[in-house]
Amino acid sequence: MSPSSTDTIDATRHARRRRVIDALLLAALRCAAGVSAAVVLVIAWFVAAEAWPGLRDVGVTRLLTDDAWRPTAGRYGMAPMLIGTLAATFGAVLLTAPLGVGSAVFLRFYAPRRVASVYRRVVELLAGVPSVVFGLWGIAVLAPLIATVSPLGQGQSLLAGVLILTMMTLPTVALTTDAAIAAVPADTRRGAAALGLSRRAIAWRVVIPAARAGIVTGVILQTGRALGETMAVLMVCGNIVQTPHSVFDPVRTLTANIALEMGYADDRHRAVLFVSGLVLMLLVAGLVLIAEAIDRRRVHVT
Amino acid sequence: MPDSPTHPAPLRISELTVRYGQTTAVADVSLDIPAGAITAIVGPSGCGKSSLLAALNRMTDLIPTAVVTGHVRVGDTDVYDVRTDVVALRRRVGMIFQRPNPFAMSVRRNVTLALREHGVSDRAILDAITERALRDVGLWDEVRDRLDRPATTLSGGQQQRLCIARAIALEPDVLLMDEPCSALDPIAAETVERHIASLRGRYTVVLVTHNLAQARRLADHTAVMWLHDGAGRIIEHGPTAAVFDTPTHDLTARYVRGLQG
Repeated sequence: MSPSSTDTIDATRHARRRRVIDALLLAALRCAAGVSAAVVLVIAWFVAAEAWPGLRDVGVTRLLTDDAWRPTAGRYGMAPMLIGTLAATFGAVLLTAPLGVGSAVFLRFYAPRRVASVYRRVVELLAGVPSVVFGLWGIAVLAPLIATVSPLGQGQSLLAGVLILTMMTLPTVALTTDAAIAAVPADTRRGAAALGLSRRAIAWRVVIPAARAGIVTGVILQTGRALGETMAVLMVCGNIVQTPHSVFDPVRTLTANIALEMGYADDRHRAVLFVSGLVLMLLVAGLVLIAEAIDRRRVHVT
Repeated sequence: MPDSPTHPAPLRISELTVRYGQTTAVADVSLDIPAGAITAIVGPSGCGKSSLLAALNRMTDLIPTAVVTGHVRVGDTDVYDVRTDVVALRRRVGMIFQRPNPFAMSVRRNVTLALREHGVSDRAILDAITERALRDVGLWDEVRDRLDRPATTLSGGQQQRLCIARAIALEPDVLLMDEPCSALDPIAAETVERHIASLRGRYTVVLVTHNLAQARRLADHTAVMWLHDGAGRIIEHGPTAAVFDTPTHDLTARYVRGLQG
């Protein structure tokens, strides 16, 4: 056998082995993707199935219009908690969006290099703080602080929930905005500078509009996170089921309600809790879809 | 404002050196650039042409490691004087980049953004300036019906002409162009080149190019840069015909004959 034919056989053997490895890898990846997709579907199906008796026996109208939440007495008014959830979430977004975008603009356009790198590190750390720690801090520091200014004389309130959620979502909004600004081509920035635009105009008139899609996507995804946040909110909101009339009123969110009552709920009560879970899931899913639609548009425009 | 004539200004560069950290990109360049003419700066890649150009409107300020020494005067303004307002300077010294970089906004807003920032708010004046600037680059008839569409929907050549229109809407005295045609297809490049030629007399144009034929077609004056001891220097300059037909420097002679660089 000539050396060259040995080489050929080696090469064929190599090729075959590569093909086998490729096939195995592909199968493994398919499994992983399949499992992830299946988990989501199974959870969705499970929640929907558990919620079904609640929807069937109580109905959406009564869930929204019953005068009180006394699930053991057959009164299922969830509207105050839905309002509490939405109020806490959108209050937080109203604070987070300008603060997050503002801090990212500061980082990218105004901060001296060294300050910017330290600041970015700190924000990254803040994004990694577990929610229960935020909750502890809320109970120990934030709530007493609010109590000193509250007409009700107590700190656990919608305001405390809004502020805690703001603090939890702010770092991530700042980081996603920072990344969106960084993704604006340097040529765009140089072009703006070459037109004699001031730093303020470059930031707010040129770069931020160009980064808009990425910024909005980040804010929307954090809105979803705020909607679903449970632990910290449970710890600082006071958990009284009522429609808030001022930011100092204690509220109970849907997430807190599930966490508080699932331990002892049964039958219809339990099913109704699953309905609230389903509502949260749909809200978050809706937000994710909106974020994706915006993302897709960005890809097409540029 | 819309009818104010432009005042092309001469540039006087003396003993200009540009360093990035330890690297010297441009060494000891002195060059007079006459008002209202097109001056080409040619030379092989990496010889410091773009760095020299960026130093003329202080775009080098945006590069943290860049250090510029020497003097540049635009008309009566000392570019590197500490009292010089760099924002005002860049309004007088416009710049066109190699790759078209329109902003992610409408065609109209690309042209009017800087004007608005500089205090022009009258809609009629803005419209008049927009139309004239777009006509100057031959873009008006192509985009008059889609002024409010995103500029990113234009073709590459149209985008580059929009960028020129955006710059001349500010009535600058000087236009710096950094290889403005090199990222375009030949037909678009030809169109852009034709409109650059039409700017002669109204603006002082400094054109960096590695396309010798383009320099020969467009430029009244040509300066040749060459890498010498690791830094870019000007080895020859003068009227374009003289530089190309009767070069005095051996490297220039070889370069313009396509033998070197």
